[in-house]
Amino acid sequence: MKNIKYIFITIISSLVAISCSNFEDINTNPDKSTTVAPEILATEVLKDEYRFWNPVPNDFSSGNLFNKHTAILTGNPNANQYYYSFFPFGSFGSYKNLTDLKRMVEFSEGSPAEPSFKGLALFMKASYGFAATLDMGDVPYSEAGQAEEGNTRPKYDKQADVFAQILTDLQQAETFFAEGNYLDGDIMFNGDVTKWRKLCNAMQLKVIQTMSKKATADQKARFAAIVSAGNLMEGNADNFKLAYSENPNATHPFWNGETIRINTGVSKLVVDALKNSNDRRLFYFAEPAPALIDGGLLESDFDAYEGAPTELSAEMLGLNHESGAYSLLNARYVEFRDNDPMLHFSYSEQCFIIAEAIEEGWVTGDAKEYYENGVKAMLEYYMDLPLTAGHVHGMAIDQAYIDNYFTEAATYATNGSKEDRLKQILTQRWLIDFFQGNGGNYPQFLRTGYPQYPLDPATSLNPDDASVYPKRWKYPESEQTTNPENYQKAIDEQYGGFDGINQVPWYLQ
Amino acid sequence: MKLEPFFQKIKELSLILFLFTSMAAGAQSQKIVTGQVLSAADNMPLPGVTVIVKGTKNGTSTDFDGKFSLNVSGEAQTLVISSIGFQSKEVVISDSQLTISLQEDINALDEVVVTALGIKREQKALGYAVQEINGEALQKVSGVDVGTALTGKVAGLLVKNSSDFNVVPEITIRGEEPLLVIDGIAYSNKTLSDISSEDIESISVLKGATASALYGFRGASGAILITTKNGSGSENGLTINLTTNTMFTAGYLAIPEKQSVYGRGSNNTYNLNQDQSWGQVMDGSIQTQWDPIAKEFRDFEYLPVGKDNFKNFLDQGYITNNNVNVAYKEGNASLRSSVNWTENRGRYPNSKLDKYTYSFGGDINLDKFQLTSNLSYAKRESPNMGSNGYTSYDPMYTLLIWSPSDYNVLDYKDNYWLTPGVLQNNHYGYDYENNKYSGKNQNSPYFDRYEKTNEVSRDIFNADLSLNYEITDWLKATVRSGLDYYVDRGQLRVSQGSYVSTGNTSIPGSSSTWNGGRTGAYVTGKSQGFSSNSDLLLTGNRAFNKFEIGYLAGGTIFYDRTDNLNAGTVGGISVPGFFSLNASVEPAKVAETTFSQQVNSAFGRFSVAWNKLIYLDFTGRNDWSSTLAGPSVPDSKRSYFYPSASSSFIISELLPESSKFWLDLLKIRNSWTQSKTPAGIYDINSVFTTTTGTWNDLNGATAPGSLYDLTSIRPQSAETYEVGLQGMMFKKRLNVDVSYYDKRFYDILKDNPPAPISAASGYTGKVINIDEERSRRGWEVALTATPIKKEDVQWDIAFNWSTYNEVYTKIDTTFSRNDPWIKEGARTDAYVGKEYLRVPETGENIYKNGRIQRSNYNTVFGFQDPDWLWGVNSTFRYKNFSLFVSMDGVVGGLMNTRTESYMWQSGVHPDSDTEERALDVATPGSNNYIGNGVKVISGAVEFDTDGNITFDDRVYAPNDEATTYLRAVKDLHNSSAWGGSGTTTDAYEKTFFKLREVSLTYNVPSNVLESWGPVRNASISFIGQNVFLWAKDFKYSDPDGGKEDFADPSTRYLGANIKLTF
Repeated sequence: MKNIKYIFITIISSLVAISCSNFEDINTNPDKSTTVAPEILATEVLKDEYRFWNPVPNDFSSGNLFNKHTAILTGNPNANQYYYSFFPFGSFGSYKNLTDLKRMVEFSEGSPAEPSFKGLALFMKASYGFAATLDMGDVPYSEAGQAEEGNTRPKYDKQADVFAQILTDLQQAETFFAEGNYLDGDIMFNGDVTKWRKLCNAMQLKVIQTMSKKATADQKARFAAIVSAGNLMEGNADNFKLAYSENPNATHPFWNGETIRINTGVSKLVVDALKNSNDRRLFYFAEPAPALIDGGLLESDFDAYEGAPTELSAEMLGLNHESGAYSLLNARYVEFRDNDPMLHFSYSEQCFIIAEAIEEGWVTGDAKEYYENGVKAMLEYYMDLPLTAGHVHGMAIDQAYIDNYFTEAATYATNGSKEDRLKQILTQRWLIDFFQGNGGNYPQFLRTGYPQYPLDPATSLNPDDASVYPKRWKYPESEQTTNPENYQKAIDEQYGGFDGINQVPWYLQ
Repeated sequence: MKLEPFFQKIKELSLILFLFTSMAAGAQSQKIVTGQVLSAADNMPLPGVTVIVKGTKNGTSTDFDGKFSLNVSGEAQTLVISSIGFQSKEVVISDSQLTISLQEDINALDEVVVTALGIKREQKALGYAVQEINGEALQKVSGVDVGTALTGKVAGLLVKNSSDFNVVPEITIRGEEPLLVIDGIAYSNKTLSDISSEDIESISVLKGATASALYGFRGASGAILITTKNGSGSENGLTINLTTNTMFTAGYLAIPEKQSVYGRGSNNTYNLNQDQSWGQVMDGSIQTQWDPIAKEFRDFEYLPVGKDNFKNFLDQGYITNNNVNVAYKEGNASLRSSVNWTENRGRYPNSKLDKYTYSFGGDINLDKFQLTSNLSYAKRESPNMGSNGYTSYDPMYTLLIWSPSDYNVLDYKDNYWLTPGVLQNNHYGYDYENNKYSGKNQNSPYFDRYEKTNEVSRDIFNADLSLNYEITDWLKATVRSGLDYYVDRGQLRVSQGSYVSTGNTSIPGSSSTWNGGRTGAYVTGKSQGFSSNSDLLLTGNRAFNKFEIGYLAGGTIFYDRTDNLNAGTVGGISVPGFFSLNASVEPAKVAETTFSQQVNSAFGRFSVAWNKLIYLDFTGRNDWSSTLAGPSVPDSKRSYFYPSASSSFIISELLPESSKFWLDLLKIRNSWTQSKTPAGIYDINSVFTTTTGTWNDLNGATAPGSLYDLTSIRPQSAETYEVGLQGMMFKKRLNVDVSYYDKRFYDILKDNPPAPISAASGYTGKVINIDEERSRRGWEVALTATPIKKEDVQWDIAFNWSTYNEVYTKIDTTFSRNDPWIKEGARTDAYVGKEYLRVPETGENIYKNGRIQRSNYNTVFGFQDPDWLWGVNSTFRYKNFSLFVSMDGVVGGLMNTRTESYMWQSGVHPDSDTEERALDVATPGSNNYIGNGVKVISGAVEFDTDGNITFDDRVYAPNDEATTYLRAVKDLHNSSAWGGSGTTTDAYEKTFFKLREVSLTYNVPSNVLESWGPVRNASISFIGQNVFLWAKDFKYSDPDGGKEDFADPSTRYLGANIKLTF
């Protein structure tokens, strides 16, 4: 039986040998890192914020409905078109990236790029706060991103304070960018910090104007100071945009969206606005209405285009669409992976912001010039798109056309009323966002009422009151568990305890 | 003793095995001995008794009359007669007919079952529930997976059998996933579906955590112990078993149907380019349609030519399961080898599954030394298992839901290309002029089955070796070691021209793929894993007067590692029909993940019994787990201890002697245990996630989303208390076993996912042990009876029933979800949804613009767990015929029906052919459906955050506004496969009853067999699986799978089974 003993001993000693291996090595994930380069954090943060949330045609189409640029013609009412949402909640999801930004700055410590990363971190924080407060009202800001310091339940700042702090942060960000040289990992400006500085300045103008009803004299003065200091965007080259490419990870979200496009109409609001000023962007945006072509009109004729009324019932839109009544989205939108760059903040918008401020007397200057520069820049944007040949129905925008644009209704209403001029400015500002998926214009509409978005209580899906435009989204449901006291305080103080979508946040009061 | 002679013997044995055919044929026949075996107690014939010539391998067994007949050689002197439950007997061979009576073995009442670590113990000594199933019960009807045969056979065990192709049954005990232990080894990768039912000797189900306490955290949810067959149970000599089992599809238990009145369109009109069936009547009017033969658009009569498309598309399927095994035993050594082949052809075209298992085992049984070793290899492969579920573009997506009945699917059979490899022939047609497809996201069904394929294969090998050595009569040492190694492979191929991508289809190592819409794709994944378990056990027992003590000390090392590698083409495939990463248009995307863990354990058990009346058991186990180790975690955190205690009290021992006449055993049992589960692999590591090429060529990284509280981290714990009562009556003809348990989960470790915190803090979660506690409480009843037991007739029936639910027993004021339905005492399985808005006083539905309104707030609509589960198994034997029937069912519990929800939404539901719809279609644009309820004419309502009304001055009038029938249907059924909770209208009760297995068997009697030469046992059966279904709410799909997401048609299988033993 000696042999058996040896077998036992061998097995047992090999077991003991195995058991002595290092547990920490076993529990270290070889596929994950505990440290990274700051620029790759920057890339991911920028992509998270500025890429369309789910870059597929269906969601992209749906995401463009709220600002009444397009209409869905399937016969099935899409909530976004009728003043509601499939998910009527705002989000603090982007605030999670405050931690990424913190790490980004830490990992860049001591490098020449450190100030640029600091600038980016502050700019992004301001962007998250701005989007969140416009969506919901009071939101965490001053205490946001402090989980590591032990504060996992940040208080909600009053909206006025959020705006004020955003302005401070943007100013500080500009100072940082001024100290930095180059920003690595930058998918927006390719690392050019001079452009980031201009953006930080221009963003302050946008923030102050968005709270125009509540802006203090100091804030208005600051607006004027920024304009007169002049370090602002100077043309389309300074546009804050996301450019698409042939790479599948950076493809335009509507590429290959033919099945969606054939049921997506251009809105009557857009078509009429463009027809009204003989604006050739119409031919870039839309296809002629089949019924009008069948009726003998030419595709190069403005009259061959008919927009879909976004407030009409989905069933009627569907039936009219089947008889070819409406202009669909231009077929070019589904053709190319590297289609129209997504504009997040453009030189044009900056022009219109200043034009409005001049009209409101915040700042002195020639509103007409700003208005015209803004429109021209947008026309140039379309003129310069590389993939439009053969897709614009023989009505390409060229320099001669742009030079002669400001005639008839397109002429700035210098002799008309201020309201006429504001309407012109805001309508042009709204057209910037056509099928851009940047979600932008709605707060500006709520603030100014221009252009007037059509609403029919018989088709509105606003569940609380079908006769009004929703003013905000509800706070994330998770806050009721993760931050209940501050959440309750916020809705009590602002909205009488009812977290409803028609409640009016401070900036619109 | 030296091992040399051993090897010599093994060589001899192999040689003998090799020559078995000549052995079988060459048996000498000198004289025939015949006889009958009777029970000494009542002189009844005993069937199945083993009769062997002493000192040889020559033997037989008695038929149902207790009779036998055996060829013996001249020198044979003595027969050994043996049967389970009786004392063996030796009789001298005489010329005359032998009559042998056997005495019942009194000790046979002390049933022995396999318990944790493979230790056999008396049933009556156990303080916890163990239910044993004989392998034969699983071999009556052999389907694709053994799990199906387990359904309904054990109280508290739920098997979810999906009707989808190549989906392995899901097994839970008391609502949790048990550990699988095969021949004493707790493999990490080997699953029940990797085993052939023919290789199973018995299954022992350890239901609670106490029963499996010695398995540590892996046994925290109970365990299924499988003992495989080895040669040692058989008679001396050679035994060959052949089993063939083949069943064909024979009709459906549940299959979706669709209306074939209305054609394509989404708005009550004909629309060539629209999916859904909300179009005009298919009335023979002339419409422009795609002609699949001419491959062009043409005007022709619009008719429901495809009303039987779904059934026409389905093929005849079958399952064939075949096994050959050979066992050889001589003296102290035995060998067994088995090979099994199963093939399943599914009902969708181009679906096939093959399974192969090979196993080989050997035993050496000497006085003080035993050695057992098993090797087995299993392969499972399917060239195309297709995809299951809506978001994976299941074939039903196109065929049933989104396409109308206006095309004949058979026109596309072998005709699904326009341009081979590039462009499909689709009923939505192709606009050549503009070089555009005008279709919706639907493939032509045949294209889908042949050009969008999901090839899978699994190879798994395992081996174990177990040595026992009796050191003294009170101490035995066991060393046992086992390992498994597997490779799972998956390859998705999508041809160019596919309108849909791979969708949510998984490959090994990656749960969803989303690749290849229009561009084509090749996606490949490979998982390989290795696990090993090594045990050292010292066991023994001693008796002192009326005391008996048992003890065990041992240690285990468990190691597990999985490596996943997956890759896919990016931007499509460059050459039509070329499926390889080398075909990727852009550089292919590759990902790798690795998981490993090691747990070292030391454990012990001490048991004491007094006077066969009271039994007490104590166990303790300490684990050291690698998953609790990290740079910032103290070493002490990785070690944790958990004890158990159980007792058994034999009441029947105290009862007067007279009770023994009818009561064999009455026992009450009691147990308590603690079980602890450490964090998951890498769950406590704070790491960055990097992405190669997140935007163009730039890489990306994200910071950890969770905070970690590593200084106070503990394993998650549970405490189980269980009581039970077991009774055996009327000479074991009636057995009753009742259990009640209460399992309290505490120290709940929120590691994956972490406990949520406000994202505004910069983190979304925290890895922490929270204070929330839950308790799961349940009852189980198992009853077996033999109501009839006569010479020619016997009826055995087994019944089992179980129920449980889980409630919150403590709420964590910080981390428990702040919802009104989450509170102490409330069930944890609430089915939550947004109900229709109703007038608070009257309950009438509230409509707006003619449309029904849903609340913005969730409420509890019901519960998800079934109210109870039941199963009945019955065997009725008459002479040589026996009828076996197994049925089971689930009662109560809600789940969402995705199939019917989408049948409604897309307008194909047979019940949607209504008057209102006809009116809508007659005048498109008209509204003809008026919902029954009210509308608000003035006033408003406000709610608090729980959805309670805080202000309400609404004034109502009867709803008089019409909408379309289409709109009304969509409002009622707008559940989405893409997320969100389903509508309450689509929440169905799971309640169903199923006739799972039927087999009618004829056992060929021994006197017939005599003329068959070497055949010792033979039987033929007519069998059925999945024979009949009744479901309360589910009409068009089978709720058996436990979830219903485009469940494939549920198919009845009928066939035959032949078993031969040589």
